[in-house]
Amino acid sequence: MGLSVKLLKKVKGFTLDVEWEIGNEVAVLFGSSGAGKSMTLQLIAGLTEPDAGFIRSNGNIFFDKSSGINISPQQRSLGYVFQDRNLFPHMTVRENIAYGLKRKTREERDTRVDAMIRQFRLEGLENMPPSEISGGQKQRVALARALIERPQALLLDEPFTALDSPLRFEMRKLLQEVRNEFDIPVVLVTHDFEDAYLLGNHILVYIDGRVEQVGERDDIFLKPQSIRVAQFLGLKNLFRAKIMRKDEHLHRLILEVDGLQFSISADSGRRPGEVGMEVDLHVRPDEIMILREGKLVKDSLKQNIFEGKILDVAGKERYQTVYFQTTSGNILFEISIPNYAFRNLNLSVGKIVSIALRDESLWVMS
Amino acid sequence: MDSSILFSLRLSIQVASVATVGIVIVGVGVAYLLAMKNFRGKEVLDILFTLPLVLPPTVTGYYLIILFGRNGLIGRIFYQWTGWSIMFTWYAAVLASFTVALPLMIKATRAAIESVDRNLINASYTLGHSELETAIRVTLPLSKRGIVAGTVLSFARAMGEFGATLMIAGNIPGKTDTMPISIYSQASSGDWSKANLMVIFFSLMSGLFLYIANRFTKRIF
Repeated sequence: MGLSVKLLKKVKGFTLDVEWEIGNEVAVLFGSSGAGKSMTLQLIAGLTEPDAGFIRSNGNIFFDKSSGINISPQQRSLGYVFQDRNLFPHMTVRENIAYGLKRKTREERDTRVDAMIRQFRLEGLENMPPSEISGGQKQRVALARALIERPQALLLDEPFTALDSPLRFEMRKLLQEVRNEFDIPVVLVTHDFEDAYLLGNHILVYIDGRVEQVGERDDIFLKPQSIRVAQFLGLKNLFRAKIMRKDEHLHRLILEVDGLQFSISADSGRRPGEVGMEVDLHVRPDEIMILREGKLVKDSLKQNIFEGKILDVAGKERYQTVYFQTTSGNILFEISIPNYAFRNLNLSVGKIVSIALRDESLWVMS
Repeated sequence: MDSSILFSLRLSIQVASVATVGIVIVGVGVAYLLAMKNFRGKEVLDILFTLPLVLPPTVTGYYLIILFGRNGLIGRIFYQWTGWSIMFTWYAAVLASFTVALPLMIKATRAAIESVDRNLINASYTLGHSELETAIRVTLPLSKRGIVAGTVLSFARAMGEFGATLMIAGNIPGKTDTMPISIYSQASSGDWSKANLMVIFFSLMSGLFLYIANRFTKRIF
């Protein structure tokens, strides 16, 4: 079941070297541009030939270097939707969808195309050229065309990059419907955080031609396995830390960053490491508490309390970003707090406050 | 109008039309190869087909004699086989027009095919359509402006072909004197009134063709 690939492809100055397997689910290849995501789709579709490896889909072998199999793109029966400018500009919506069909009688063709037009809610647009319909409608037409022959898998290259958020949400539902009805693997390529987060249950992080991390959505965003993934995700508060000692009894590790000590649960991270090791520490900005003056602090928070000064504040629509510097060690933290909390705490630039780090806010990568 | 002018006009249109049919078939094929394929000797092929655009037509005509003359490389075999030679027939005028105007068609069509979004062609392949079917239903229809412009330009160039035509078809009144050749004859024999008429006709026609070609190359999807 699903799609399983092992691909090696060298082009000048770049090597793609990946191996992964997915089931009949929506999987997102997530990475910055030039990481090899689109190339992966081209190789799967047969538009470019890998230097080595294999491509298998639901028991069919599309490509296998060792046994010399290389099925042509025409015969692979894959739905491939490209970024934009996907539709044939010289054909109407109806003709575009019908183009996805192999040879059929006129009646069969008409019934199949009508069914797709209904399913993808394109009624009334049948005779329009692609230039006269909206971006969301274009992508629905492209999906209908790609799916009309019931392909083995669906490949989507940045399909929603040009769409705005409400439309993306709608597309996400549509994709789920597609996956449920057709029961095929859907591989979606994106460099957009929102797309990756909204669309993918299963995410493969591509960095420089390799798969750096594979996991469920929250695993990736909350538990990056390496500093490379964390940096790619644009995570704030990344520090180089040293493991100073281990408290076996309390099951905790003591880390030091620029002379400042952090106490973390020995489970914060997949492999927190041994004493003496250098690791990367991530402190989640939305899990840092700014303490109210004079208020008692729960025992569980007492492990990591730091005093410091608010250097700057930047407001966003939903929350405030507070730039905080510790008095000892001069470590700079970015803290996200909701607007109401910001008001209730009477925060302002220059104010001296204390912060507490919950265990959930600390994540170690080694 | 003088019957000899009418004959020349009719002959020119006939020669240019037949040459253009050949140019469209060969030109689109060669342009497709040059635009879509990578093969050894591609640049040499491109230069070979483009040469008549820059060579003096007399040189092109000279090559045509070497190839198709009664003692030419191809012409000799043909002559031995059938006892017929293309030299000094209106077919020779077609051959000359074809050779000289073909590069215009190839240039315009190749550029048009190269500007077709590769994603659309790839989309067609992944939808199960063969390369030939894709060419007919996607690539060439999307290159149609370039093809039309190339056709119009080639026809105009074929109509006006003089040098190579004179070399291989000669100037036989009532047989191979196309309009440009006829103008040359009238002017050299001092018959200015006939020459004026044909010159004006030619200038207007060429202007119109260029206008059409421009309209087709500018407006792209």
